[in-house]
Amino acid sequence: MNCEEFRDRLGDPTTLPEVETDDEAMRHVAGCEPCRSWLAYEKQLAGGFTQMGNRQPPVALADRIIGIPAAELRRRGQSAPWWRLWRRSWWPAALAGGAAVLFLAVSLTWLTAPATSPVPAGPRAMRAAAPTPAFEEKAAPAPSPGGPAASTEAVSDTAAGTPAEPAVPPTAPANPAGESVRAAAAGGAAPDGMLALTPPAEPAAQAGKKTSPASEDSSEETSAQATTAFLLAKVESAKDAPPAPALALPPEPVSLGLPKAIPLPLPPLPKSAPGREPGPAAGVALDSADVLYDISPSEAESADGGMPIVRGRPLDEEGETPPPIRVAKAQPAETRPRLAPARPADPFSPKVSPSGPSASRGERLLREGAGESAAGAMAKGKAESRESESFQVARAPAPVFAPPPPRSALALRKETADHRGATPPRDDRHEKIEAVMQEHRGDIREGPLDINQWVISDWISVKERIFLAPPPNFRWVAVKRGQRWEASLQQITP
Amino acid sequence: MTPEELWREATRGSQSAWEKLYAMFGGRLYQFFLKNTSRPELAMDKTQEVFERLFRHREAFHTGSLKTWIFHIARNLLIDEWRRRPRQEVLADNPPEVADPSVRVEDWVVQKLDREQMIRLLDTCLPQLSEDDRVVIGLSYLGGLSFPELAKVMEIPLGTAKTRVRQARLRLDRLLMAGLGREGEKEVA
Repeated sequence: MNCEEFRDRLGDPTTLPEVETDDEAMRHVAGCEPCRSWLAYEKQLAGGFTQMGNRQPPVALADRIIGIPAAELRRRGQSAPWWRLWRRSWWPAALAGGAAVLFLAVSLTWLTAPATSPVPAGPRAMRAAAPTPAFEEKAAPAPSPGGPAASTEAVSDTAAGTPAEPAVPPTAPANPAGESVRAAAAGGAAPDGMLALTPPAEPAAQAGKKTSPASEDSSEETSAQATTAFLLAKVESAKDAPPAPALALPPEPVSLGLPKAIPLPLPPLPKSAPGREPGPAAGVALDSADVLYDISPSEAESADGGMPIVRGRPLDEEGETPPPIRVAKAQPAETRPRLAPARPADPFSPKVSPSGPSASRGERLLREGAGESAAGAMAKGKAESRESESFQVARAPAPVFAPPPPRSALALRKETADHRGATPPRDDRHEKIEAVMQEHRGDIREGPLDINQWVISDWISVKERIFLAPPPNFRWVAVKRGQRWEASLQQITP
Repeated sequence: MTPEELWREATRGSQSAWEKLYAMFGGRLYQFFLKNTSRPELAMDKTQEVFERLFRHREAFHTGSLKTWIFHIARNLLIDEWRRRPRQEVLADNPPEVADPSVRVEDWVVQKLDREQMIRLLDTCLPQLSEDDRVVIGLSYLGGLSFPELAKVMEIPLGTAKTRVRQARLRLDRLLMAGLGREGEKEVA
């Protein structure tokens, strides 16, 4: 090892003790005077810093810091938000689970209710929505001379299998509000206020051609045109439509909105179906509230070969309006379950009395001019009461006016609050220190005593350390008299 | 018992373990803040704040060195405090002239100083260091952090930590030399 390596090792102050026990380093030091001086300097510097760190901080600080756990637990207990309480008891989880199950049950009930879906969702359902014989019977005999009825008459004719000229007039009722052809053609059974979308007449019929109503091609074409015209009308009207009010509240009772009827191309009915004649895909109902019209439906119809839009309400198979579905109302606030407070057996709940550690205790001591013994007594009393309240659950209460312990009992035992009796007089500190020194005489060296290290080594408690604190500008010094250790206070010369 | 074992005991509710932790780190933390702020009241408050944070976030510490964690908190608090007030002029950037540069600091210190004088001299010289140097010296010598621990606390690479300690030590040595010179002059006078 050369000088550079040696000084590199000394650069880290934490390795100083290791260097001193390293044979190689010590061999180098033995033969190198500058490194010997450097090592001595480093030791002195490190010793100075260690001594500086071992200076006793103010007594008030010890009291404040020792009382932190109790104060913190008390503060947490007071200000714990309600959601923190969820961790501590089982019933909120059960409540949440019950609510989830209830919600699922309501959802399933709504989804599986057969009468709540008037609009078919698939081809099979579309077939079911196709005009039933009852519907056709109602629609066919409806006499509606001229006007709006004429358009639906054509539909009725088509539905009846009779070729007919498209009778939709291009100037069919130009209602600015989207008032369209009445649903007389739909059997006259549709109540007012709803639209019933019927398939438009096919363009071939407009050209004067007669087509077979039973033809699958014409049926599909008709449906496609109806879809196109409807979507065109809806898109154009939506462009100019005023914005819908945001988050409008539904009236009570809430009626679940029925899905819109989207006219889709209907597959032809099987020809083998007895008693049913293939007709146009009519009868798809649409709620007028879902369509925003700024133009007259007749304009849309005229733009695309005519698509009669009939106001009406969605119909079920019997032509009657299904009743609105009622949903459960929100529970009133009085009947809602409330969160209960934390259980008293909770280990985290505050158990400390409000008279906790006072941050101004040290200041009060200074103001009153009390000595170290009074400080020690106060710290001991307060900390003991705190400890008994917060951490030691099952401990017998100490007598309030316990007799002072005999002098022989002052030999320090391991730290338990019970063994810390009443505050001894000032001179007892010497005896305590000597008792500790006698107990650990193998580890005591002559000279200044570092009683902080005694706490770390578990020889004394912090409260005893506070009690044994030397007066300002004094320090404890160990002196050996024969086989006996003596403690004395030595003044630190400024 | 190691600090980490004490910590585990303290988090389980042992008041005596908590007190031992205070005995282990309280004085060093207080001196660290005192040397860096020169205000005893503020040093007390900051020391208390370190322990409060420790306890409040006790679930955050699982592995590693408790000492590193404690001084990490202390350094962050100190930096926060420095941000609140303007930086102070320091002497370390322009240290006083040394009477005889050929004389080595170790010879002076070893020959002239006992331990108490050394502490007094350190008390005089530390406030003259720059804030960064004070933090490095405080963490390394007062806090007893090794180079890897210092690098972790300062959030710098290991080599940078070594360099910073070395440079801070050089400046401290020069201040000690100058202080010793003044002490010698006083003695002569």
